[in-house]
Amino acid sequence: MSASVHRTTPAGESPALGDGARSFWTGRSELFVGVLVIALGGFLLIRSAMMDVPSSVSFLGPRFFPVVVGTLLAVLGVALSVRTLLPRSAATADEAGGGDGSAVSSAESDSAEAGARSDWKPLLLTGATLAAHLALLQTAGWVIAGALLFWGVSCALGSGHKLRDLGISFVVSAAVQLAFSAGLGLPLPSGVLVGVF
Amino acid sequence: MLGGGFAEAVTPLNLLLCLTGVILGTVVGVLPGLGTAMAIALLVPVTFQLDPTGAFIMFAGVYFGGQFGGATTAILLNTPGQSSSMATAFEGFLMAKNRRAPQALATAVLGSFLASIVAVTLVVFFSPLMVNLAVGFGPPEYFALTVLAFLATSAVVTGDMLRGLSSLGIGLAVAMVGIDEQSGAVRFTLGSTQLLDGISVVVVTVGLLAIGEVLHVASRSRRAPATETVASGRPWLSRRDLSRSWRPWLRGTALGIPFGVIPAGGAEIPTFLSYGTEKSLSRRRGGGDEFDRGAIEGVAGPEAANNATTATSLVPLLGLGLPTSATAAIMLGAFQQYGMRPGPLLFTQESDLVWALLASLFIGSAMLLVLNLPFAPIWAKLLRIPRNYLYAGIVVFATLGVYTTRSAVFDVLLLYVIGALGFLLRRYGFPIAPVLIGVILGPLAETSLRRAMAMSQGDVGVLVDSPFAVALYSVLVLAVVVSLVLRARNRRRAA
Repeated sequence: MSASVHRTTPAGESPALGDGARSFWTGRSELFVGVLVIALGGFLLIRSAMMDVPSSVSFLGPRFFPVVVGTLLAVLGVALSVRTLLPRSAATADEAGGGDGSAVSSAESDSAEAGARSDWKPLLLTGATLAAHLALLQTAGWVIAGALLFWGVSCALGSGHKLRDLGISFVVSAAVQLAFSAGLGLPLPSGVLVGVF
Repeated sequence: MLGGGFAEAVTPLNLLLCLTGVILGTVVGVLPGLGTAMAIALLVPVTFQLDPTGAFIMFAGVYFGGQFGGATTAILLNTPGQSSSMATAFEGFLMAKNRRAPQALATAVLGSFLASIVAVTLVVFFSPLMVNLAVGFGPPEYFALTVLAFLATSAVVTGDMLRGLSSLGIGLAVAMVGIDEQSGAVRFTLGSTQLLDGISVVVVTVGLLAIGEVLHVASRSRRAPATETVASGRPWLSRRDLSRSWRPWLRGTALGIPFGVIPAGGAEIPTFLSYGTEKSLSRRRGGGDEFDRGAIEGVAGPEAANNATTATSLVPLLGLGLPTSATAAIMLGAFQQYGMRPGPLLFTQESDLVWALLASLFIGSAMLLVLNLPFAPIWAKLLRIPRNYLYAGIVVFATLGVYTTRSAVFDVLLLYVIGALGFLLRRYGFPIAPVLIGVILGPLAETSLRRAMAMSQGDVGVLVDSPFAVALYSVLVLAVVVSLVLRARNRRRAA
């Protein structure tokens, strides 16, 4: 699916790059994944080498499997990166069927759109919301952190009425707190509103 | 034994759970991008409050509900809720445009019901056979099975072997974090005590499917709103529709059944096969112009195939502990969370649960018939909920589910990190199913391999010592060769 992306999105991923870089890096952001896969493989190999292995281990200790997987990942990562960097004509022929058969039931209903150029603003907003929720969950408690989570994601995805949504968010998170704490007996952090709940 | 299962499953509480499951599954299945896999992943943390039997009865409901929810929107809105409903959308939406939506829905529901009943009956008969086969399995056979599952999902059915195998490797890597079960060595925790127990399967599945999906949605510019067709009239089939439908139902069921048993990534392939079959048969009959204008056969066949595959995927799941699709992989993960391992032992140790689960599959398909035949257009209204609330709700629910399982903020952090990984994978067309299979079956593969080697004192020959293992490896080699040949041929044709 990204094959079509390479051809149809000449605008590139990072407008920050100069024109010179653009011509080569356009549509090659998959290189990042390749490098990530190499890094993961390297991590497995290095940590396996450093691992404390109990002396009782007989055949194939705890290192064997990680080394196999680490090597596999490193090789695959290199192959992915090389393919991304190859001249486009060669890469696209190979990728023509890519992703179409990836049969996870939740994913492929819109494979034509998948992989198209990312909208950075909603994505970063969502990411920031998740980070803020993590930071606030223990200190401010669920009601506030949960409302923020709902509101942030809702705004990031383009909400029409920000103020009304804030109200909805608090209703949702308070309802959840009530259902989980009172109904199911599952504890949620109460934070600063400890007296209220 | 099935009678005992029915006795257990028809208690008021379990019937209610099954109904809840069917409703939730339908709701989630209706929403585009949210498949049954995600519905179950989101429910797993919540169902820990239930006893295992109740939880699995609910999952059975979700499983079937999700399948049908996808078909409803495929027909009414041309937005398949999941990939296995894509084939249904072709003719189904055309029928809906011709004001034949009620008939399309009815043939889909009846076909699903028929296929489920046939397939579940086969499951009831064949699971014990599978168990008899599996009783003699030792570590070498289990290792062969895991290798088959790994390569089938990552290399054979995916469009791109490099991406599929990378996904698998990532899953295997995630599964290795924590204390090594056999030697007690601490692996890849980076000194974190929270990682000693490993990364929970629930965190991985919810992160990859739910959070990853929301980030993916956030990264795309807004889509055009779906076009809705009116579903007016009563969903009854005329005699003519019925006579056109029953053969595709049976053919679809026959096509779908074998695909549940092999690890081919779910119901996508059989639905398209069924669609193709019905189309060419219709052409041969001289009715070729019916297709592409809304032919009822094109809805009846794929929907039957879809449900048959879904049901028979329980045979390898329950009998061998081998998941053949992402949804089955998550079910397996759920079993593990309850400390149960599907396979021969499950049938002896937890036979009550197994038979109650099988009985509730029958009940679930019957409930679907009752719920969906009259109410399908109402489900489609769910798509009117603003998208931002929907996805915000999913994030809240996912976070909550993961947090409450262990009351650990660290798990929420992991959830988001894995969600980011899931986003990257989706963004670049890496399949998610191999990651899940890797996480869930990785430990079994490693343990089996090491046990086998320990038994044989380091002789690699033990891995190919049994006829069953040899047969599995042969199937695997054959599948890889065939897929390589097909791929090369396609490429040549494209070039």
